Amino acid sequence: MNKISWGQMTVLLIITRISAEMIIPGELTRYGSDRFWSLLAAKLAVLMLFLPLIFLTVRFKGDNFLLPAIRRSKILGGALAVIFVVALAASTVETLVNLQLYVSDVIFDSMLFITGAAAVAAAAFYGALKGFSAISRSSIFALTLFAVLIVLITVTSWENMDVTFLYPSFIRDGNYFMKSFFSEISSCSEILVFAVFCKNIRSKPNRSVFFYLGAVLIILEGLNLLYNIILGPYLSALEYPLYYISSLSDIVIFQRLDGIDAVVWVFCGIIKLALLFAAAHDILSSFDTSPVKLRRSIGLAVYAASIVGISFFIGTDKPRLDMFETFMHSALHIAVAGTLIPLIVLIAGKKRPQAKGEENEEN
Amino acid sequence: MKKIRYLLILPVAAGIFLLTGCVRFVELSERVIVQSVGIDYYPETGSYRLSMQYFTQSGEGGQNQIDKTQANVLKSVGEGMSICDAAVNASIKTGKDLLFSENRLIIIGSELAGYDLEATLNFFVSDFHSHPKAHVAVADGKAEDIIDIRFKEGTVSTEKLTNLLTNAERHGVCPANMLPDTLISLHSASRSAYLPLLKIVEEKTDVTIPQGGSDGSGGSGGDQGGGQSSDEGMKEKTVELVGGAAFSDGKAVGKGSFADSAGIQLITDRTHELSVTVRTDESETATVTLFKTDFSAEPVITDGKLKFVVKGFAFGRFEERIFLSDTDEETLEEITRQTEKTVKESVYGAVSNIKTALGCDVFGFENVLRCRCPDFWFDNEENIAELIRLADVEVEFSCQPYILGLQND
Repeated sequence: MNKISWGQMTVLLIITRISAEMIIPGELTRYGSDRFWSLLAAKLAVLMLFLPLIFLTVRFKGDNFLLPAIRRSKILGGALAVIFVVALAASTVETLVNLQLYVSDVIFDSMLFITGAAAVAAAAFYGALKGFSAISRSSIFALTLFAVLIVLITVTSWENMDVTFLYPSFIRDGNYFMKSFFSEISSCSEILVFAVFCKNIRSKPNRSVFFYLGAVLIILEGLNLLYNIILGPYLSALEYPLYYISSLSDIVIFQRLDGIDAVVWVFCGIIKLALLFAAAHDILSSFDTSPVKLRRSIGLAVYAASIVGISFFIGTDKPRLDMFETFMHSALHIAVAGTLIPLIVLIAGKKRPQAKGEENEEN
Repeated sequence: MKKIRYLLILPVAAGIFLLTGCVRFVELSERVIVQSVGIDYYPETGSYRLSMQYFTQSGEGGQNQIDKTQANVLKSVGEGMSICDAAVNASIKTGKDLLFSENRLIIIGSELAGYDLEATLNFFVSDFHSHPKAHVAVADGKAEDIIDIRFKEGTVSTEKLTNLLTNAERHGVCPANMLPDTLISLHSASRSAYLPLLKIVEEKTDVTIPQGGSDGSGGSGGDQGGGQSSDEGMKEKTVELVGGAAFSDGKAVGKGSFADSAGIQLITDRTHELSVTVRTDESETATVTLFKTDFSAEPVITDGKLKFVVKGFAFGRFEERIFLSDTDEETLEEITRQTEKTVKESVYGAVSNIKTALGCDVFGFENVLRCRCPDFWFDNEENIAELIRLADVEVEFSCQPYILGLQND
C-alpha cells in the first residue's frame, strides 16, 4: 500500500479545496467584510465536522474508515459505503460540471459539454489509475504553480491596489453570510478524501487536518483580501474575480496572466477529480478482494463514465443544474458522509481482532 | 506491459495531430485585430454604430509589415440594435472574425455618453478575450470621426492616441482611465466616472495621414470626414485632449476643464508631475514643476455634518534656473506661495465643479469615508452619494520648491 506523509496529505487537501475556489457562485462574490467572517466561521465549522474522523483515526488506527462498521455488520458497513459513495459521486459530479463550465466560460467557449467533461474525466481517470501517491506528488507541483501564480498576480497588480477599499465591519448581511457559510462547507469535499485516505498516512494523520485548515483559511482570506483591494465594489459584479485580476497584469514580461491562471486552475481541478475517483476506487476495491487488478480498473472506468454521463445530464440543463447546486450548497452530503458516517462508525465500529503475536507482544 | 502502453500512446498521439483539423479554427490573417473602437448611438433609429481601427496582416507593401501608411491599418464599421449586434454586423461586412484581445482604446461618442456607461462597457467585460487594459475616453462629437483620423506616429495609429492619454496623466493634466478603473469607479454609490475628453481640431501640423491620397497611401476605409489633406500651409484635422467628461449615475453630466482634471488627479494622488506657472510680476513668470506629490483625504464629522480635509504636499523644481539663481529669497517665497495658491484653487475648482455641481465623486471620498467612518457610512448608506456631494472640502497644501544644485531654505 502506498503511504504518504502528513505533509503530503496537507498539500492534497489544500489543492482539493482551492480548486473549488475557481468557481465562486456569482451571488457569493461580494465586496465587503461579510465574506471574511463567513470564511472564518466556515473553517471553524469544518474543524467540528472533522472531529469524528479525527477520533476515528485515533481509535481505529491504520484502518479503512468503513472497516470497523463492516466488522460489526456487513449490512451496516455496506449501507454506509453506499451512502458514502453516493455523496462522493455527487461531489465528483459537481466538480466536473464546475470545471467544464469554467473551461467553456474562459477558454473554449465553443466546446461541447460532453467533449470537455470526457477529456477532463479521462485525465483524472488516468491519475486515479496511477494511484494515490502519484496524485499526491502532482499536487505538490500544482501547489507550487499556484503559489507562483499568486505571487506574480500580487506583484503585477501592485499599482491597482487601493487599501481604502477595506473597511472595518462585522456581518452586515445575515442572509448572505449564511449562504456563503454553507457554500464554504459544501466546498469541503476534502473531508471525504481524508476519510478514505487517512489510512494511507504514515503517521500523525490529524496534523494534516489542522495544518490544512490553517493554510486554507490563510489562502482564502488572502485571496478575498486581494479581490477586495483590487476590485473594490466592482467585485460584487464579477463571477471569476481571480481570472479577472490576473488578466489585468500589465508589466513588461508578465502581461495577461489569465491564460496561466486558467491552466493552473484546471490542473488543480483535475487533481481533485482524480482524487475523488481514486477515493471511489478505493472503496469499491475494499469490497472486491479479487487479485485481478484489471477488473477493478474496469469498475473504475464504468464509474468514471457514469460520472461523465450524470454530469452531462445535469450540466446541460439550467433548471436541473440550479436544483443540483441548491442541494449541494446545503452541504448535506458533507454533513452526512463526512461527519455522520464517521460518527456511526466511531460508535458502532468494532476493533480489529488482535492476532496471537500481537497479544503476546502486549502481554 | 510496456509494449501495450506504447501501443496505447500511438492512437492518442495520432488523435492529437489528426483531430485538430476537425475543430473550427481561424487563421490570424482571417482575423480583424482590433486596435481601437469607437461606439456611437443614434437615438432616432435606436441603433449603435461600432467603428474599429484594425490591423491586418494581408496589407503588405510597406517597408515593414506594420506600415500604417499602407493599407494594413484599416477601418471596419457595423451597425446594430446592440453593441454586440453591431460587432457581428461589422464582422459580416469585413468578412473576418473580430479579435478584441489587442484593443487598446475605447472611445464613447458624446450621444452615447448620455446613456448608461456601464451597460456600454459591459460588452468588453463579458467577452473574456477582450483586453481589459484598454483606455476609455469620450469623444466631443462622434467617436467614429476620431477613429477615422490616422496618425503617422506609433507602430499603429492607435498608439498615438493612447500615448496622448498616458502622457497627459504623466503631466498631471488629466487622469487616463483604463477599463477596470472606470468600471470600479462606476460601482460607487454615485456611479461616477471621469474620462478624458477628445476633440477633433484643425491645426497646422503634419501628424495625420491624409485619407485616399493619390500616392496610394492612407487608409482605405471611412469617408466620414476624418483626417484631411495636409498640404503645405493647410490645416489638418487632428485629435486633441480638451479636458474630461464627468459621469454621475452612470451618465455623462458635464465637462471638466484641464484645471478640474488636474485637481482630480491631485486628490486621488495619481499625479507624477505637474507644472504650475505663476506670475512673479507684471512681465515675468516662473514655472514650478511639482513632483513626489502626496495627497490624502480625511473625513471629519462635526454635529452630523460631513467635511473632507484634503492634505497635500509636494516637492517643486524651478524650471528657469538662470533667471532664478539671481532672484532674492523673497521672490522665491512669493513664487512658492503662489504655486500653493494655484494648486489649492485647482483642487477647490475640481471639487466645486465636478463633485458639488455635477454630483460626480471621482475623488475616492466614498472609499475614504467607508474606510475611516464605517458607522456614519452604514447609518447613511441610502443617501451617501448626496451627503458626499454636499460635503465641504478643506484643502491644505504646501510645497517645497528648490533650484537644482542650490539650497532654498
